[in-house]
Amino acid sequence: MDERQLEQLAKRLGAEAADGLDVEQTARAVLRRVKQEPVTVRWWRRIPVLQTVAAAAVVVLTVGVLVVGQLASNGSEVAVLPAFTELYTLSNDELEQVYDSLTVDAPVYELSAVNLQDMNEGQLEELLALMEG
Amino acid sequence: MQVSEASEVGPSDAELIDRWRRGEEVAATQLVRRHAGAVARYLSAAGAGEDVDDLVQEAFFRAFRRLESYRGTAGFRTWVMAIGSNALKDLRRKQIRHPVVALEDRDVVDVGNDPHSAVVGLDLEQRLERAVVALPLMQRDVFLLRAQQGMGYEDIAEALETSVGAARVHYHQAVKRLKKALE
Repeated sequence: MDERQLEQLAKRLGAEAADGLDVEQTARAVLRRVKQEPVTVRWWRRIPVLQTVAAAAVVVLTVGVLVVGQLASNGSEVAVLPAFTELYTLSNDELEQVYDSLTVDAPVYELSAVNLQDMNEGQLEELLALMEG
Repeated sequence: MQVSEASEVGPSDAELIDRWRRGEEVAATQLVRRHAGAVARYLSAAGAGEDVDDLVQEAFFRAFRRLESYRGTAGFRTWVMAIGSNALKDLRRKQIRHPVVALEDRDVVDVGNDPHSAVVGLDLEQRLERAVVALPLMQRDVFLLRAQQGMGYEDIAEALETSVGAARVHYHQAVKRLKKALE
């Protein structure tokens, strides 16, 4: 048997089932079910803005987890600091610890060149923002 | 070889889908009338057996419920058939988990791993039917959509969420197995 004969034979399959199908009854049953079981869309999926906010929140949380994980893997005590701690609540020693933990991969900022004691809060925030990219 | 669904008399499928989305029930009825027969033939050949009527209904029901996700890149009929194939798969899984009738009482053909030996002694059409049911799912779907329904590879690939190249490979593997089974 060649491929063409096989295809011809395949076209005959299921003919009996098609003949026996009550199309009108099927159509009525489908419509009845669609009405009885309407599509349920979760409320937050109806509002595109909320989807965007949810996606942004997921990104922020993921990045936060990764950053904390990275700090923890460096063995720094700073890693245990809450991610959202305001810089101005930190003591100079704590700020130096943060700075040390971040300067591992950022040799541009050398302690010998910049004295943290001389920097104000705004400068420290700017510096950290730069380091964090 | 491809069946042009647009050649149907009356409004195109795309128009009917659009009208259904706008709430015209008669458009959905027309879609069912237009494609139900072909879907029944397809599902029957895929092994639906006595469940074919329920599965046709299920296929259209699922299709209308998820019409928002229909991109129109595959033909509507092909898309409904792919949904029907999944419904058949779901039904069989469910029946395996919760058998209603003892297997020995059911008209089920166990073709095992050797479709050839299982189909010897039947007439050619029956043998093909049983060999088709014994194919791996993807090969079965591609073969039926192509050989029975006359769909193009692009349409098949789109509906089954695979590539055109993979669809071709599945088809040729199916043909090879079926030829062997019908020898």
